[in-house]
Amino acid sequence: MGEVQQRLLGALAAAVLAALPASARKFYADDPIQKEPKPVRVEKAHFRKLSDYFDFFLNTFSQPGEEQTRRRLIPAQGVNTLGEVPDGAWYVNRHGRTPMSMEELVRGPETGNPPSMAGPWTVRTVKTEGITPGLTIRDARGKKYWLKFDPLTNPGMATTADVIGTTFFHALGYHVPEYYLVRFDRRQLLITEKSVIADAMGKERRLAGRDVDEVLLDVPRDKDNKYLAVASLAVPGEGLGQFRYYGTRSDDPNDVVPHEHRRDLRGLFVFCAWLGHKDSKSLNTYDSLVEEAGVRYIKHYLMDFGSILGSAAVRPTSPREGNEHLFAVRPAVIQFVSLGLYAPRWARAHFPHLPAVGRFEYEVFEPEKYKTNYPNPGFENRLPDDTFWAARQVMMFSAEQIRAIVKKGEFSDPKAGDWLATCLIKRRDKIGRAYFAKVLPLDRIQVRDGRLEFEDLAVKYEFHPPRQYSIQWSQFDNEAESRTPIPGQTGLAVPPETGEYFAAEVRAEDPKKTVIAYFRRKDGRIELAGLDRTW
Amino acid sequence: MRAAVFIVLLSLPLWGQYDSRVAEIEAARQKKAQQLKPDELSRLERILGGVRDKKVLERLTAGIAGFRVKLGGLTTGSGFALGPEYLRRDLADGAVIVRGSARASAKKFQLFDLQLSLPKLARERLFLDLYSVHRNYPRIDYYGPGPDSAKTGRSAFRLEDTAYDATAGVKPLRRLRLGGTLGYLQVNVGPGADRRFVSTDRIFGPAGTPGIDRQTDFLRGGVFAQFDWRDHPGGPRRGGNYVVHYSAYSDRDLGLHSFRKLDLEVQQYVGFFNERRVIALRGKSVLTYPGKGQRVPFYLQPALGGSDDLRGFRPFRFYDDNLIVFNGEYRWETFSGLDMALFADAGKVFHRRAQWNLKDLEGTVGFGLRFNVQNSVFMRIDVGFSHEGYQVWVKFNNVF
Repeated sequence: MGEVQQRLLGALAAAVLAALPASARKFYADDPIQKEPKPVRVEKAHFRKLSDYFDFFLNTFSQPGEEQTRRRLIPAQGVNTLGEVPDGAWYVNRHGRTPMSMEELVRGPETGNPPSMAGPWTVRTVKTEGITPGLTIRDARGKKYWLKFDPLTNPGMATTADVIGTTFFHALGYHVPEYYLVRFDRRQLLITEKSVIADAMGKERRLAGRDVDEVLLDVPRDKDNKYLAVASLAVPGEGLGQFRYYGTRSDDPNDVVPHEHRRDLRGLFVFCAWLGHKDSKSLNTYDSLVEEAGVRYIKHYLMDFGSILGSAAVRPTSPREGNEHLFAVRPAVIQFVSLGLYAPRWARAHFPHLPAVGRFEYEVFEPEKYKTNYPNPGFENRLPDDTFWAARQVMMFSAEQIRAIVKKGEFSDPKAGDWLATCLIKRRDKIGRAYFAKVLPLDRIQVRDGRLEFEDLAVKYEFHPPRQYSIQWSQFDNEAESRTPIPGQTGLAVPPETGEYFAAEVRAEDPKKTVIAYFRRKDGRIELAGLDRTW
Repeated sequence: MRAAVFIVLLSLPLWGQYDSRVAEIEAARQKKAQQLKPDELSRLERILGGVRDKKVLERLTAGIAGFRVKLGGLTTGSGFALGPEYLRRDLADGAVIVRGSARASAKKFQLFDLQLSLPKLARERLFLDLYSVHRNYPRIDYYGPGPDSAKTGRSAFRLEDTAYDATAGVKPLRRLRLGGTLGYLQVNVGPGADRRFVSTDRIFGPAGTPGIDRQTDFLRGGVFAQFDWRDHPGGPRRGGNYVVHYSAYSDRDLGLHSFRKLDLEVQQYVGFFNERRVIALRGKSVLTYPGKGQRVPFYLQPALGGSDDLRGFRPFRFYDDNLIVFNGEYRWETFSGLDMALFADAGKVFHRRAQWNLKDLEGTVGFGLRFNVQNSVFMRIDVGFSHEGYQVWVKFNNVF
């Protein structure tokens, strides 16, 4: 074969490859999937502990992972064709898919396993250093718990933040540990020969009763003279350390979507803004090798919610937290140059004196300006359809449901619970208003009785007055992924002459914001195959 | 080549065509399953993780087997100082603290001290502290007595003293400390070792500079009260700290330098804009009451100037029997971990207590940076300006 021929054939092969779409068709017969396929069995994975310092510096002074650019927007991955996150190792649709009952919502992740009061709690270790001193115990049934406390100045603040936060994040679909509010007296704690304490240097020695007394000296008591704590039940499975908010775990065959592009992690930004979770970082996550339904796989958890709402675990949240990163050049330069005369809006926020809440408010809260303590690659990559996905779920919590979950915090001061619930309701509404304005927020799209139906969430929640929509029906070639408009078909009625796949492009007053709904005829029915949103 | 193209085409279904979404996902997982490797940390991450896990920073500050490097802590103007310190906070389950250090500075200042503290007696209601220190400072500045001493009159003297002090007290309220002190002080003053400046004893005599010729030992004792309601003592944003300390010094050898002393200090912190801005105010006065025919020795006289009071003046710029000084700072947060400050200092030393007023104050203005961790300042840089020029201070403590 001559050289020219070889080149021609080579060019032909390259052209064939280049012409191939990444996927040969837009929709498969099983779209939209509601659940990820059964995981590949994980034989072995190693524990590794991420570095807090490294995480801070890396994320503060760079953006790891693949970042969005102005020219090329990278849509979220790990979603079905409706833009929803299928149930799997990262996420399980709960309240956002089918509204949970009040009882289910309030119960949260709890499986009825608070530490048993039937016998003493054996203290295993005491940690006196670090942000939150605490104890690990085993109850009479042998179950292992981590006990965390409130600072003396703020009884009920961090413990209720943990419990309330866990309940919300559970309802929002994340895997979280079980947290229980407990009250106990000193006699409940049993010290054995195996009990140890780690000093500030991490050096362990045998625990003495006085050590426990010393820890408890800094723990507030309730009116019955009992200590209040949150008991976190150990996560099942083999601990593997934390997950990063970028890249994938190289030892997890099921982890194929870069974390910075996961919708559940991009959208998490909105939930963190709502709940004041400024400390959302890798160190507050957990990977566990679990075995469920006969399959060993890595399950990904969010944990440690003691620094959400108005709490920063050992103190109330700083007014700055949630509004600025710990370090950012621009605000620092502004403060430097202005000699502090420029006071950001958050510096003028009003926080009522409610020790059990800490510092939490809604007046100056602006969802899109929310800042975690340092940048999070997933959050930085969020796009309007990511935030819409999350805001839709936030808006699904009624005021009554929010109040019921807050009540789980067992606030001794009713004003504290009222304020917290009020803040969450107001912040919820700000989130809906902000993110439903970034896209055309159509939901519950379907064809019924031959007509297109949908719900405009901005109108439903009264963020926008009722409006007019224009609709353009198209034929859709699933193999070529191309739409061909059907002339004259601009009403709600489905055109009679459509093929297997067809689409409706809906617009309102802003021509950039569209929703394209793809339908499929199957078994005599018309079902929604997928959605595209533009903005 | 034809074969190559064929293989490419054959492989197409594997690459781009699946019969379902589930198959597509499973294929991606299977592909990754063939490339699994341990999820390892980068070298830098391992190092930083090790720093955290092995508590390297804690060990540097808390030491190994009780030993650590202690920075600074000598007098203002001594230059950068460091030395070994032995500190045990874990004795008797934290009820006993033992500390000792030996420090020296680049300017050959030396300090050796020993301390035994029992801070938690009677469930933290009582406290006891025993402290002994030997200082050998070869060149302390001295410009002459009084507020009108000339900048050009700079001299230097050696101060060598040893003190043994006991402090005991009670905390009737969480924020209130009441107590008493008892101690013994041995002093030696000698020629200064600063080649640039004349030795103090060569240009100042005992008439204006009492104690320059002969030194003595002192028995000293006193009482004090402190009410401290600062929110974060290491970097206050609101609250106050009020201290009064009345003490008596008895000259044991010469019978010439017995006196009583009243130390007053008021600190007030007014936070605004959610305490991201703070007005910090301090008023301090030291008044001495010499006995009949007695004079306060110059080395125990209150002095002004330096990093903690008049920051636009050199250390120990003014000496006299009494002192009054005011400091005001406007502090603002630039980012978490750094506050900036604009400050003004005003104060004077004076001979007669009748001069306890706001006339003829020396003034300083300046700016500073305050580096802090968890509401506690660990380093500051202050630049102060006065009619005598400017001073730059790098200190590992908060000013007040």
